[in-house]
Amino acid sequence: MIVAERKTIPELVDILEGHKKILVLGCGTCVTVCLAGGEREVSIISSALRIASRAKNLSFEIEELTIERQCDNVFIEEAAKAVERNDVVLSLGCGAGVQAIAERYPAKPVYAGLNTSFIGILEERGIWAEKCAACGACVLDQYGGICPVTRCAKHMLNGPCGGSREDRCEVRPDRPCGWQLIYQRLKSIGQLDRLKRIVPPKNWAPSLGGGCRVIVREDHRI
Amino acid sequence: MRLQYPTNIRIIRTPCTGKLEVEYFMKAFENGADGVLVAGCEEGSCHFIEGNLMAKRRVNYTRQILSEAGFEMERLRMINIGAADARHFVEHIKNMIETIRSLGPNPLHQADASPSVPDAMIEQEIQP
Repeated sequence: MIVAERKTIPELVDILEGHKKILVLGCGTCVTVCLAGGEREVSIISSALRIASRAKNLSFEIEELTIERQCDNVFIEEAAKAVERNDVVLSLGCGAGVQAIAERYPAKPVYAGLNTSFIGILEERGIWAEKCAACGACVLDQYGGICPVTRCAKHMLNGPCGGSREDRCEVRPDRPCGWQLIYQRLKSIGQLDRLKRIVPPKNWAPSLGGGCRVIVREDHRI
Repeated sequence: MRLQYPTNIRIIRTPCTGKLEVEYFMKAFENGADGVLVAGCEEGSCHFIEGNLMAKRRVNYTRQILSEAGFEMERLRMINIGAADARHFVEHIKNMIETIRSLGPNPLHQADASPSVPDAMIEQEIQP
């Protein structure tokens, strides 16, 4: 899922200052699961903004709404009336959600209430960790399902770097060495031979270098 | 032991402090509460194992948000106290009320809201 975290209340107040009728729009998908922009966070952030508004005489009028998915036109439609009756939208969706709302309502200012952080999973209660960099050319098949691009701080494809201590990463000692994990995993599935291959430089062309990435599926187009 | 505590507080019972959510505290202050004192069981003695520890984290998070919003976070406090510890219960309540008095009324309290309970020490008994 996409993992995000909320901006601080002073940051949000800075963004919203000068506006009156504000729609705080949550998203019921990824950011709900990572406890950043779901119905409950909409309620908490709206309360905090109302408190900040009264403390600073900003006269915010805040409406709360959470739709199922902000990055999908079908669900965005459910917010149409609420967007219409407010001056601005503070989206608690990920970056894709914010832009989808902005594209759908070109005359309405749409602001991001979250910082979209990474694609990751819930590692344990209250801890989310990055697992995928969306590099566009997946190499997981070669590394026992553990991604060296995200889980090795040096993104090494022919690791390890030799700097790890007690199976901890040299760069981030609070995290396990990605290459230690790759070794253990390949060993447990009987594929250690894979480490004998020299992996050529990765093709980064499908990554962010070429601008906005687009996938076209002619078989699904109308 | 027949102890007295100020009557300008309202006790809200919950099955466990672990039932409390951040939204509850935020709404309480938005609706004009001058202060919120969360009284949980002593750490390590929660019937639900870790309800009071969860409450502690939520209270801390709420205090952080309140502070970010420019609201005095001292108005929200959590204590851990045994169910039979009446003496400390009264002390904590008096202490909290002193804190609130020094801070003054909730600045968000709207003019049209209902008047607050008179700030008098009216006798009330609790059973230890």
